[in-house]
Amino acid sequence: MKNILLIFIKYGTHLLFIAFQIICFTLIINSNKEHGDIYNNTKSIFFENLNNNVDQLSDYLKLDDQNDSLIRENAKLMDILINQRITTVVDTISDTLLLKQYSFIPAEICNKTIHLRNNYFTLCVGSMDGAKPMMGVISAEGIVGITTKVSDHFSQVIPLLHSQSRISASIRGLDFFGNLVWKDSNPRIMTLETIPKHASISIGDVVVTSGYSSIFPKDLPIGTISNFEIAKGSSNYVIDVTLFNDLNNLSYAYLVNNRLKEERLNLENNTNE
Amino acid sequence: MNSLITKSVIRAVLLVLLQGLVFRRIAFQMGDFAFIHLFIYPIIILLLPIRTPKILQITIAFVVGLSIDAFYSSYGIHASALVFTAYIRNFVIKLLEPYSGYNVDESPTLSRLGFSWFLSYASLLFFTHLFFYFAVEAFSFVFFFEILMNTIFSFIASILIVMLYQLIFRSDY
Repeated sequence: MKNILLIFIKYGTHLLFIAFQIICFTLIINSNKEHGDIYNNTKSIFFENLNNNVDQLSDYLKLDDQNDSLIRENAKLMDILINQRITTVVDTISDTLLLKQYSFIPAEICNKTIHLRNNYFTLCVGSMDGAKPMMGVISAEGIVGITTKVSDHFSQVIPLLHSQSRISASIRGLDFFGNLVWKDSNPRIMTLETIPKHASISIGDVVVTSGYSSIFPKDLPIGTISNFEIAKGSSNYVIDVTLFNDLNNLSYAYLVNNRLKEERLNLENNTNE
Repeated sequence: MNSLITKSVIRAVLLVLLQGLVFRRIAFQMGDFAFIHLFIYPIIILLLPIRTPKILQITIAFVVGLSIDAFYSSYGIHASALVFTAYIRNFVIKLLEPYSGYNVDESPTLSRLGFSWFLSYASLLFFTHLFFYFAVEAFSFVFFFEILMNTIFSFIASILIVMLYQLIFRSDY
C-alpha cells in the first residue's frame, strides 16, 4: 500500500496525464461521430488481424492432435476402401468374414535408419495396440516393410531398404510375379527379379503387391518401372523399380492386419506336410 | 500571491470566453484555402506561474480544454491537446532555462524573460499544441497533409496574436 502511494507521488503527473488522455479519447470516440467511426473501423481491422493470427497459432498448436485424428480416419478409410475392393473381386462369395479381411493400425515412426545396408524402422505401436510380428507396414503412397519383433509398445520393422527384405510383387495387368529386393544403395530404387523375359513390360508400368504372401493385400501400388534389362545367361528380367513413397521422408505408417492369415497359413502348411 | 491566483483565474475565464465567442467565428477562407484557425487559449497554460504543481497544471488544462470543447462542440479534442501541452510545458521550461534560472513564483511572461525567450517558448508549445490538436481532430494520419497545413498556418496566425497580446499588455503575470 505504501509502495503504491509512493509510486503515485513519484509518477502522479504522468499517471494523471495518461488518465486525462484516456478520458479525453473516450469522450472523443463516444461524442464525435466521425472519430467514433474511424475508431471502430480501425479497431475492427486490428482485431480481425489479431484474431486471424491467434487462430493460426492455435491451429498450429492443434496440429499434433489433428494429425492423430487424421491418421486414425485414414486407417478407417483404407479399411473400407481395400476391403471393398476385395469384396468386389470376390463378390460371388457372400462371406461376412471377407468383408473385414484387412484392418489397419495407425502408427507413428519413432526411429529409422536409411543409409545403411540393413536398415530398421521402429514404430511407436506394440502388441498393446494389436501389432504382431510379420505384419505388413504400408504408408499412404506405397509399402514400407514387414514387422519382425514386437514389444508391448514398440515394434521393429524390416523396411524395403534391407538386404533381407523380399516382397512378392507383380506388374499391374500381368499375372507374373517376382521378388522385390534392394540391391542399390539408392533408397528410392528397388529391384524386381524373376519376372520371365517373355513378359511384355515397358518403362512406366506400375508395380503392385501380388497378394500371394498373405502379408500385404493384393494390388497395392509400390512404384513404377524405371529401367529393365535381361541379365546375361538368364531367362529373367532385372527390373529397376522407382518407389512411390520416399521412405526417408515418412513419419506415419499403417500396420496391415490380415485376419485370415492364420487360416491360410495353416492350410498351406498342412498341404506341405 | 493571492492576487496572482485571482488574476490568473480572471484571465483564464476571459480568454476562454474570447476564444469561444470571438476567435471561434474568425476563419480566413480563400476558396479551398481554409487552413487558418486562431487559437489563443493555450496562453492560459503558458502563463501559469512556474511553481504551480504539475498535477494542478494538468487538471487546469483539462478543465479549460473541456470548456473550449463546449464552445466548439468537439468533446475531448481540445482537452486532450491542452492536457498534452500542459504536460510537456514542464519539459520545455526546463529546456529553455536561462543561466540565471527562473523566479519560480512568477509567470513566464514576455516582459520578465524577454522577447526571444518568450517567442521560442510560445512557438514550441503552440506548434506542439496545434499539431496535436489537428492530428486528434483528423484522428488518422491518412490526412497528414491537411494536418500539417492546418498546423503551420494556424500556428503563424496564432503566434502573431499571442505576441501582440504580450506586447500590448505588458503585464507581469
